[in-house]
Amino acid sequence: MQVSRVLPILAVSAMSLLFFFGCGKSDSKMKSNWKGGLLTEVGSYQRSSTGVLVNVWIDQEHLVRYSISAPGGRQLIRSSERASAYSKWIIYFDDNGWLWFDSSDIGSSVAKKSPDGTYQEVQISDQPDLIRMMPQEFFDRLPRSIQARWKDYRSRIGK
Amino acid sequence: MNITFHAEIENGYSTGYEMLHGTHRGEGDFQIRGRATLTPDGRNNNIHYELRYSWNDRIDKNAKYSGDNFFAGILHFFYDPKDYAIHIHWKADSDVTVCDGKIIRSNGYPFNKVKK
Repeated sequence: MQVSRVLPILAVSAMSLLFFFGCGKSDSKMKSNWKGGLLTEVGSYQRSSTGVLVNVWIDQEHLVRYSISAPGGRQLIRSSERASAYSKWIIYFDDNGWLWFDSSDIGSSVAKKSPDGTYQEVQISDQPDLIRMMPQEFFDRLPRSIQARWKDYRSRIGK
Repeated sequence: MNITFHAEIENGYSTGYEMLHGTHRGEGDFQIRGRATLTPDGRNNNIHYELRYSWNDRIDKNAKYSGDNFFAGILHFFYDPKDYAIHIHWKADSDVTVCDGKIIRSNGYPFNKVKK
């Protein structure tokens, strides 16, 4: 079969697969004995040590959303980031209760927890202080070009 | 002029525009750079802009989508594709007339529709 005839067939097959199976996983799951750390799937995650609940979901616009709630259910922050769920994304919830978010669609941000327990969402571009504070596991999953640019900030503190 | 901000277009998976969706702040976000020349004319201010626009983004596959895996698998058959940064630049001029803080006349990009 000629290559010119194979390619359209491959394309049609691919599109068929895409429509049948390519809509991503949006099924919600509850994990109650969660110790924090890396999240790459939607769901509800309750930290066993503090009872803080992190919810991650994909909304109607197909954007990745998250919220953090106190053990009593009071919502502490709801993301305003508009990262496409079609792009790669990760979340890391660290030991300080900070939520680090990265999307290959729009970049990185962090939901910073203040001493009074309130949260503030900060977009990360080239802020050395935030780059230094990034958890290593989160940093290791950033695009290599971003890592290369930011590693100098981190090497100054020996990470 | 030197302005940087986050820009966004439609989200989706069916066109290249949709896959771009938002600019990537780690790659430079959306930038407008260039020159603005002000020429007062009575009570109006005429401004001529000579600007360079940049859409800075990243392209990579999302392993959560079987469509991405499928297409990436096909590409891997032919060569070894990598994630990459994309920087789309274009230059465009425009003219604006401002009176009492309001734009009363505008011409050029992005005010006029682009001819295809």
